[in-house]
Amino acid sequence: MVIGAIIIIGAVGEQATRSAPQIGRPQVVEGPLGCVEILGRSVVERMVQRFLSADVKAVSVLADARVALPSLYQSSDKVTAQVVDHMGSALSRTLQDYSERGIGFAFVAHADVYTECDLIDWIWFHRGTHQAMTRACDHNGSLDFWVVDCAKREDVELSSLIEADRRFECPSYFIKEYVNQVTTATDVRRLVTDVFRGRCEMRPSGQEIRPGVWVEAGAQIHRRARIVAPAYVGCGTQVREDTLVTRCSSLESACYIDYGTVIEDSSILSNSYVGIWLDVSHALVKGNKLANVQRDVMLEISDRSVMREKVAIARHSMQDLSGSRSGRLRFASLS
Amino acid sequence: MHTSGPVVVMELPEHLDDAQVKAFFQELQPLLEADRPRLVLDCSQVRRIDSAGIAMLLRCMQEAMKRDGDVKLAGVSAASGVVLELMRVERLFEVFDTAKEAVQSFDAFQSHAIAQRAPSHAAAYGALENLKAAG
Repeated sequence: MVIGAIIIIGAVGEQATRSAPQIGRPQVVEGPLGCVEILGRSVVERMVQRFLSADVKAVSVLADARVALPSLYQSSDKVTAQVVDHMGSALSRTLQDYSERGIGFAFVAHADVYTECDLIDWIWFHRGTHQAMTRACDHNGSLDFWVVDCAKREDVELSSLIEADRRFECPSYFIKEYVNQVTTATDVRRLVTDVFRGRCEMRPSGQEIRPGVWVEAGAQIHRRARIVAPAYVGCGTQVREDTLVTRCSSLESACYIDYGTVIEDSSILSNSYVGIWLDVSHALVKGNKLANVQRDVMLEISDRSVMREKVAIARHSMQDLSGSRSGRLRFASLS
Repeated sequence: MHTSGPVVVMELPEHLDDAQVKAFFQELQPLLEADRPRLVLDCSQVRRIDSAGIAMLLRCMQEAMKRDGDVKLAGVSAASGVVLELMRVERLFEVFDTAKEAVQSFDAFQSHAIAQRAPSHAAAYGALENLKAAG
């Protein structure tokens, strides 16, 4: 039984069933949240890793031309990434290519789906249905995650996979394991707290320097800063004196948390500057955008001394500085 | 007072107020002056805590941090928890249900044991939606 996997990274607006209510609402991040680093790695990277662990023969990451590709570990030559102009035809071509290479079944997942389901069990379930396609679901409904029979790809309405069209009926595979379709700030915070509280298998990247505190190489934490476990500090991030990082908070790579600020139950996404003496609670922050998940509100802060996007440092530069995590690269456009 | 390996567990007095704090801190001080002090303050007997008690907790934390150590709290009652939260102090500490869990947390992360108030985003959203629905 030869299996492949395809990850679709669509532009906002073509995303996901569960994100439908979010369309048109201001977002902290332009593009899918599955592409941003959460605890050191994007959901896309983590799903690629899960597919490889399930011994798939090929993983294809198809990204809409309007979306930046996430950085991916070059962990295997089985992984390819492409920027595509037309997702439908790229998906069709990939399935055809898989079929010609003897790949019988392909997982097709949207970028924001993170699950720890038993992929092989699902393939067996799918085979038993004798259908062209099976869609995953959990107790909240359908997920943007399918198994497609490559030989029967003609029977599948491929646009239904891209647009996550509910009208296209197919058998459902119920996932009882951990699932998080990361489409909102709340989903990000839920994922982070679930990881810290051991509710899923995902672990932060980096080194656990003391119980419950994960720090990437290249991070600088002032000795008068207090990091209360569980917490994560990403690569190249600077935490200044008298700051407090507490209650399941995460600071992704290349952030700067300035003097005296409290980060409580919050995630600060990569390349964000957070100014002095602030109290950031229950929030997802990216640059000058802050989503408060308790109040269900998104703010754009214009005062650059309070919050701002830092100049992005090329990932490889930080690797050079830290001398770790070699083998990580940003894929170039292939088409 | 009893020790569990290199981690010291101290039981806080019933009344953590101005009168008690001074004597108690004197007892603590030698422990805090050790190299990398690892201290669990067992709050299970605390019935009353005031600003002097809070100040003492902060001082313990400060002294421990200076020497690369840490102070954790255990058995914080609901009433004490409210006071700590009111003074915005609770978030400075790792808080555990029992002293045993707090001691173990120095060696391995106790994801299941941490007694911090779990952020429940789903509930918050639910409540907000209910409020909106109610007009």
